[in-house]
Amino acid sequence: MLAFTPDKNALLNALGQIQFSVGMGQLNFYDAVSTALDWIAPLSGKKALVLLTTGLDSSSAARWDALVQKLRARDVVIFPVALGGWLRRPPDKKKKATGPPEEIGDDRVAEAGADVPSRVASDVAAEKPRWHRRWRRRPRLATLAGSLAVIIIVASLAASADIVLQHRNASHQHQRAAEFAAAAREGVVTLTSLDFNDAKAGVQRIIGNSTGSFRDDFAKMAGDFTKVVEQSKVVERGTVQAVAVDLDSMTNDSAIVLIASTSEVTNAAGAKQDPRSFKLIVTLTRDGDQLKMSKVEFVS
Amino acid sequence: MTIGETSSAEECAAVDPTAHIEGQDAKPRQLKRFAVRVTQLPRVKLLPALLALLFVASTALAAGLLYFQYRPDRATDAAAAKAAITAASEGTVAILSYSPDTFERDFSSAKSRLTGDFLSYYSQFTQEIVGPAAKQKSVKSSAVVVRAAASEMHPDSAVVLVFINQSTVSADRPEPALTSSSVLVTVTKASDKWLISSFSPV
Repeated sequence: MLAFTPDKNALLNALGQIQFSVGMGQLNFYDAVSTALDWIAPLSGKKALVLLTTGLDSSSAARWDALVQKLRARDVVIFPVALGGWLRRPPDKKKKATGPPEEIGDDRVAEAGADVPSRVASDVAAEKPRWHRRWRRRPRLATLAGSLAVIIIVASLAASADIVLQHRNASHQHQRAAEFAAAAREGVVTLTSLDFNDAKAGVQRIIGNSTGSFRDDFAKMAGDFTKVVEQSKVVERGTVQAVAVDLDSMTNDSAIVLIASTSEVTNAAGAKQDPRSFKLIVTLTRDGDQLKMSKVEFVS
Repeated sequence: MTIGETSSAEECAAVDPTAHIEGQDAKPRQLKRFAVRVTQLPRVKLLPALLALLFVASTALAAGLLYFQYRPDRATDAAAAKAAITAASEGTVAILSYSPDTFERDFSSAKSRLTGDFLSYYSQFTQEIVGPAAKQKSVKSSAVVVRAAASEMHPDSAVVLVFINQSTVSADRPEPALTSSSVLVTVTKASDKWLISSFSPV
């Protein structure tokens, strides 16, 4: 055997010469551990004991208890490495493996050493670790792929929902723009279509399509306006040529609309004059459930 | 029910009275076997299949929406309209602003903002009529946009209503002649740039 040494080669040699057998001989595993503990007791620093053992002991139970007492008192880490695992797996291994140490009697196995060494032994076996690793890696890859898929699915669904929502907003916006355009068109047609035969009705139509300050202003001069139309002796028929809603100005309830319009003027004798053309900037405001002109600016 | 059907049914019953019963019995048994098979399908395989299906469906949905809704929406939103309006306004000013000293440069700058039939019309018109007139009578014209807005908005084209004020002076008439007009300007998107493809006063 070998005393404490830092020489690895000497250690390897000594390990190579280890022999063990289970025969009629006394198995003093507990005593051996106890002695080893005493050896390293005077040494300073962190202490560890590597046990190369079958874990079998044929001495009395009292010695085990004494060893346990000793182990508890010392600050030593113990690494058991199992030898002769087959010794603990005879045909009736089930009974022995599951039974408490007391029932096993002489075959008592140190608690810490019972399962760990056999597990270590199986891991040491050449092929098993590789198989082990592969078995462990596969589910991890699958979980990773699955998580990634779930993330992408959730992201896709969120993006889809967002696009649908945005599309709805855009549709609403287009629809609203169309409503403002139609209201502006109608308002401007009433503004530019006046018949001297029925001036009052024409003026009423304009007031009906107006709201806010424009309506107030127009209502004030409605009387004079009617007279002017009656005296003009002309029939004016307006046609809207182009409408454009200023999207920047558009809100839910108001918008500024650009309109190019022309009107055909016919006098009492039926003679047509040159068509007049107008450029208007009309502000429309929601009044109840109707969009009405709240400001009209003739651009010249 | 026809007579033929009745008789054949009876025949069946007569020939093999157990067949019918067995047939009824067989179905639930088959169902049960199927149910067992389904429930015994390894969950490990069912889940990935479900995930894969969901993955394909959700990404396809997102891609489809992106292509068929998001893109056209973005191409016709207020920001896109603004770009079209700016191009139409600047192009209109370029078309209508020139002076006798710089008209060659003025016209070529305007031409860079035009496309299609209107480009060839404008090239010919400026070369044969406006250019000589501007030179001969030293016509100077300048235009400003009063206001403009989009009348129609499509992903690749837009119609913009432009209100303009134009002032013209010439050797004959040194007093500026002011005209106010409205123009429907069609702009077309060509490689991310809006170019004027039609210009019609209304």
